[in-house]
Amino acid sequence: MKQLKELTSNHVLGNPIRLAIMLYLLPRARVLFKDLLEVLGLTPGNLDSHLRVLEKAGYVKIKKVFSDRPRTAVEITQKGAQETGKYLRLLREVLNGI
Amino acid sequence: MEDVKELKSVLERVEGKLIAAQYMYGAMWFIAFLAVMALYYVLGTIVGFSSIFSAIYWGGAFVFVGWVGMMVGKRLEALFRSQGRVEEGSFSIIALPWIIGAIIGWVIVPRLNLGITEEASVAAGFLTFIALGVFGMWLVFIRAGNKDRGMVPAFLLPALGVPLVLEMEKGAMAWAGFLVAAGYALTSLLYLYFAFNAIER
Repeated sequence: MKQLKELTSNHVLGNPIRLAIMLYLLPRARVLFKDLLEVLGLTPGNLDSHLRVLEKAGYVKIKKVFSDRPRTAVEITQKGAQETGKYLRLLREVLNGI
Repeated sequence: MEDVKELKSVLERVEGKLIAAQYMYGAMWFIAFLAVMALYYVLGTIVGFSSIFSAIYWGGAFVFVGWVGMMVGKRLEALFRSQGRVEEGSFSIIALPWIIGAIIGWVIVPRLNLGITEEASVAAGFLTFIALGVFGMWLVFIRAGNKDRGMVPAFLLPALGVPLVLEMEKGAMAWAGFLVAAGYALTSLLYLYFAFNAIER
C-alpha cells in the first residue's frame, strides 16, 4: 500500500501533537503561543520543541507580536496548509481502503 | 472497525470546519465592505454625491478594503491549498477587476452622462464598479476551483440595478446603495448559512 507508506514516512505530521497543532492553526492562520499551550495542555518546553520541528520544515512561522504585551505568535505558512491538507487526504484514502 | 469509523468521522468534521472557516472569512470581507459603504453614505449626505467626492472616497476606501481583502485572501488561500484547490499566486489578481471596475465605474460611466441627472450617472457608475469588482473576484474563485454560489447576489443585484438608476430623477444614489447593501447582506447571510451547514453535516 503506497499511501500507507507515504503516511508513515511523514515524520513531521506523523506525530499526533504536531498534526493537532497544524489542524488548530489551519482555520485560524495565526495563534498565540499561550493559547496553543492552553488548548493542547502541553508544557511550554514540549510545545516549543514541536514548533521548532514545524518551523524547520517550513510549515509554520514563529513571530513576536504585541497584544496586551509582547507575545509569541505562531502562523501557518502556505506550504504548511498545503502539506496538512495533503496529509489529511492521504489519511482519508488509507481509511477508505481498509 | 469502530476506530476506523470514528477516525473517518473526525476527518469529516475537520473538513467541515475548514469549509465553514472559508465561508466565514468570505462573510467578513463583505461585512467590512458594508461598513465602508455606510460611511460613504453618511459623508455623501453631508458633502453631496459628486463624482469627485466618490472618486476620492473610494480611492481611500480601496486601500482599507484592499488591506482587509489581503488578510482574508491569505487565510482563504491557506484553506484552499489545504484542499489542493489553488495554485501559487491565484489570488494576487483579485485587485485587477477592482481596478478595472474603478476606472469604468468612477471615470468612464459618469463622464458618459447616461443618466437623466448627474446623480443618476454617478449611481450607475457606482453600481458598475461594484458589479465588475465582485464579478471579477467571483471568476478568480471559480478559477481556484471554488464554485461559490453565495457571491452571486453581490454582483447580480448591483448589475441589474444599473438600467433602473439611470432613469431616476431623485434618490438614485440611495437606491444604488440599497441594491449594493442588499446584495452584500444576502451574500453574507448565504455564507453564514453555508458555514453552519458545513459544521453540522
